[in-house]
Amino acid sequence: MPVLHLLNHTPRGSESFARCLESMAEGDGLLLIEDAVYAALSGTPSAGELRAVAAARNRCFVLKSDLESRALSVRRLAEGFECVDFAGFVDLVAKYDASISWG
Amino acid sequence: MKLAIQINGHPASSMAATTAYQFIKAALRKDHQVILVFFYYDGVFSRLVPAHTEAETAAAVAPPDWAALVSEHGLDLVICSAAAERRGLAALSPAAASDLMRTATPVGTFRAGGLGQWVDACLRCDRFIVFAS
Repeated sequence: MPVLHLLNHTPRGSESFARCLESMAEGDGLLLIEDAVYAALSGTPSAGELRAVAAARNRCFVLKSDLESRALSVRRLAEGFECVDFAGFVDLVAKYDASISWG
Repeated sequence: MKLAIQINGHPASSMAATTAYQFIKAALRKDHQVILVFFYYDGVFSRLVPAHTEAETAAAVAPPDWAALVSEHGLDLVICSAAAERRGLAALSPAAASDLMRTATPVGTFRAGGLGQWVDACLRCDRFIVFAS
C-alpha cells in the first residue's frame, strides 16, 4: 500500500525527518511542505539523504508555493525533486492509498 | 473523492491552518468533497482568529477565510470541545461567546464536536489528511 509521507519542519531540531525516512517503504512518496522545503535545497546534507531515498524508488515532491513564499527558486532544488502546486498536492493524496503527517 | 481534514497547528505559530485552507480550496476546485474539517490540539484556536484584512487578502498566501468556506461550500467545521476546554476556551454556544469571539469569526462558522466525529469521517472518507503543527 503506497503511502504519501508529509514533512513540514526543517530536518534541524526535528526527529520526524529521520523517523519518516526510516519508515518509508519502496514505492512510497514524500512531500515536503512549509519549512521542510529547505531540506530539498541542493548542497544540504538533508538533500543528500533524500536523494538516497529517491534512489530507492521513492518519489520526492516539494510544494511550490512554500518555496516561493521563502524566496527560494526552483533552480535551487537538488536533483530528483519534483515541484507540485496545491492542485498537484490534491492529486498526490488521491494517487497514494494513504497519507502520514510526521510534523 | 471524499476527504477528511484535521488541523492541529495554532493559527499564529504554525502554517497548518493556512496550508490546509489552500489544500481544501484546491480539492474543491477539482470537485472533491470535503466531508469534515476537524480542529484538534492547538488548531482549536482557529475559532478566535478574526476575518483577515484586505491587505492580507492581497498577499501571496492569504490567511484562511473559514466563514466563506461554510457559506459558499457548506463545509462542516468541527472544533474538538475537549481540546478547546483544555486550552481555556469557553463553550461554543453563542450565549457563552465572549466579546472577543463575537468580533472574530461569525457565530455558526464552527460547531463543537469530539473525536467521534473525526473517527466517523475517517470511516466514511476515501482519504484523510492531518495538517500537523
